[in-house]
Amino acid sequence: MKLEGTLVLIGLTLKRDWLRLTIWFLSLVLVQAATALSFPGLYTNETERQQLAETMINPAMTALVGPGYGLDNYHYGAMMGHQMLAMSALVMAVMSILLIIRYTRTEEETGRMEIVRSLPAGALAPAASGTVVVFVLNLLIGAGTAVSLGVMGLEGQTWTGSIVYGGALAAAGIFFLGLGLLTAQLSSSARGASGLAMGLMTLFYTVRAVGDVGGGAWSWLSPFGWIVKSEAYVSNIVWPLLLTTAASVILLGAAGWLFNRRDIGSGVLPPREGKAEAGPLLRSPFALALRLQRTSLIIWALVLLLLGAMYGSILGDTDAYFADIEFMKEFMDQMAGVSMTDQFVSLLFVVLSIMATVPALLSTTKLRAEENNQRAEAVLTRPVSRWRLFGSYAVLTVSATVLFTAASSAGLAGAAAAVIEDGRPFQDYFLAGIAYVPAVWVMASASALLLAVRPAFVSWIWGYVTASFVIVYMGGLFQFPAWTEKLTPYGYVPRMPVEEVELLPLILLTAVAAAVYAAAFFLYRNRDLQ
Amino acid sequence: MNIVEMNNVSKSFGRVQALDQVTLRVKKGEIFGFIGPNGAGKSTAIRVLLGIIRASSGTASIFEKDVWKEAVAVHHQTAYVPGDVHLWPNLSGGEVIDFMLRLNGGGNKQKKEELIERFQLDPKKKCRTYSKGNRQKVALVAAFASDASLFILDEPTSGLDPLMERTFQECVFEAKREGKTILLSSHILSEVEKLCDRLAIIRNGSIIETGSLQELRHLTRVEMRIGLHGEAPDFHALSAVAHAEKVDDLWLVQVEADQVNQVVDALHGRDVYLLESAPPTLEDLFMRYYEKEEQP
Ligand SMILES: Nc1ncnc2c1ncn2[C@@H]1O[C@H](COP(=O)(O)OP(=O)(O)O)[C@@H](O)[C@H]1O
Ligand SMILES: [Mg+2]
Repeated sequence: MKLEGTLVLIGLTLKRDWLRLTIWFLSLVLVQAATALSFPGLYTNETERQQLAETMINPAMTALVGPGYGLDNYHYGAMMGHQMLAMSALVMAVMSILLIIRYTRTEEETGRMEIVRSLPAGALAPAASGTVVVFVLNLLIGAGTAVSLGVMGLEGQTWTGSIVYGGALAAAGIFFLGLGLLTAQLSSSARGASGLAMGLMTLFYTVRAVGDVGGGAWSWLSPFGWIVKSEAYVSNIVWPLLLTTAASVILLGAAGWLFNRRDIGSGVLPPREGKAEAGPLLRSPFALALRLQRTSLIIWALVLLLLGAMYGSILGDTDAYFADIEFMKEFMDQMAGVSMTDQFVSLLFVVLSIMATVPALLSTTKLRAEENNQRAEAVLTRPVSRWRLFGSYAVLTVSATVLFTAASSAGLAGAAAAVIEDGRPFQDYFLAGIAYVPAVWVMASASALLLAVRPAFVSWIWGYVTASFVIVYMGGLFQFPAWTEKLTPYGYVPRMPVEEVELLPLILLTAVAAAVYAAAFFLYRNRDLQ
Repeated sequence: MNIVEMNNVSKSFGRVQALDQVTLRVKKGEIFGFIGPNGAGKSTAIRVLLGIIRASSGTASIFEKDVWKEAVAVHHQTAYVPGDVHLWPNLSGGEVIDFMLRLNGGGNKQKKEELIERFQLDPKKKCRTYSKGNRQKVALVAAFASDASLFILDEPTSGLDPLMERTFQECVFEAKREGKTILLSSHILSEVEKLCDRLAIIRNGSIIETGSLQELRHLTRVEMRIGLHGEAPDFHALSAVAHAEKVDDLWLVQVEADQVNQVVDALHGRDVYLLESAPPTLEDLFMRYYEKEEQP
């Protein structure tokens, strides 16, 4: 029998991986419960909830979590269904894909599946046991979520709604279990299979976002679109979930059919081949660094652009909204004659510039990894000076800083200029953001200096980034003394549009970055490689 | 003319003294073997020569240029293959080879393709999927297809199968025929024995012997097998004999390599029906030094 031994293999999987499975279960269920529990504290009365509902009607929010529904009576149930369902379904999707590929493709890659197959186990047993485990995990998470939310019973959190909500999560997870199992048959490596599945997942989420924002039919092409159509807690429509389940059955069937028709270790699609020869541009350390980082550069720039736009899109109602929330007021020092919105914008720009710092520093970390993995050595034993290698990464970092800061600033400035009534023109906001470039350069130069002193020190820079974030973001809230701001480069940048443009601090920051880089160059030239 | 020169080079990592007063000369056009057990300091010496690490004291030069200060100039004519090759997982083997060759100034495209063929490398595969041996092949192709006049090879065959090892040896001989200089570190003595003109033995960071294999052989013992009718001479009485015993009908005698004539003289006039002498292998030689050091 083809399924013989499935139960034994399920037992083995549970024994080996119970901790991983438990962590997935607990973290997903607990996050749902904790989010629901936090709502009453954040939005105490109906007025506040309706104000929140107002801010939800914008394209960025729709793109992120799906079309608003139940906004005219935005009770805690509606908030949960509207704000959390799509994103949680995304996490379920990631979980299912990772786990099913782990239990099938990875097993094949490591050769364990061959051992299993040589035992008296049916041909389908390894795939079937993995599928059952992930399937049941999805059901348990759905049930756990439904029960915890139902028991909580906040305003609007009906049992029916909770069951639809939990069911929607499980349906989403099971759909991507099917998809993951299918890509595991298509690709011949675990990496390729998860890349394909994750890519399709991202595509589905984007298609839903595009469809939801456009109000058109596109959302029907995406399982995320179906899930959101269930409108848990408000309309509780069940048939989109049945549609999702039917699609999952088809995917699982197709995967099983392919599994039967291929050899262990092979995939239906031929493995992706690389090029036999290098392209004409790959002829310098800089070209190599760019080549290795180009995908992450593009993705980070897009993420920062979106992040900026998302923050910006909520700015329209800031003045009305924040005026009522004590907590938010404390976030910012009150200043006479300055609008709340402008103050908030200037705060957002610091926060975004710190976020843009993260990918900018990754370039330095990359050079460290190159050294640790002896790949820097492979370049430096060619006629390439240390100056040239270090300089390539420095140039890349310095340019990436501009790219990332410009991306996040453009996103925020574009959205701000669009949504703020009687606001400022785009370039005013953009300037406020791009002014942080020299501050990020200082951080980048500091990371380069650490690398030049000793590679292991590089990770210290993250401590400095975190400290900077706490100081500029929370400083107001915790009433830090004003001088603490001067401990981070971000504190020296004029906070436009509230403050005036001032060039001197920016020039000084740039000079500091240049000096630190110079020191880093010197030290890097004169130390042993790892 | 000396291509590589190390004069009293020492290197310490904290308390570990990895190199102690190493002096080394590699002449133009020769294959120079650098042998020693793991942890002896071979890689450290090579990394000093390549300017990856800086000597704590002493001087080192290649092509009469300082290996640290003029590293780039030195590397224009040097190709290096490490024992454990690390490559960029996202690039294909072919891309890496081209990239390396371009950094060195182009290399020879035809030679590259011929080497890929000879080493049976699939250049389209991503480096992520290569085994250790395949990664080594990538580095070897990139090295031998370059126009370098000095090859520094640090245990370059540790992942190759015997067939590929032979291809490697052919490549080394071809390079030598073209007048190139090769510094080959290894702990596989048979390989060194086959390839090298001269060699240096390193232990615990010190060079304990340098010379041609021929010269070094004089410093060790030859094993002789002797079969004779009638009475045997008293081998033990000879100063050149280290050890002698009779196994079945044959005498096995270990003789200092430069004093074999003592045994020959002793056998004069006797009824000898078998006389064989095996040259000492590099392994005997190596073990001899090893034992010497172990003795108090
Ligand atoms: N970067 C380093 N830091 C500390 N010790 C090192 C380092 N590199 C080498 N060593 C030590 O130096 C000695 C020589 O190592 P190595 O040159 O790699 O030997 P070999 O290549 O002959 O096997 C070893 O004891 C090794 O542990
Ligand atoms: Mg070594």
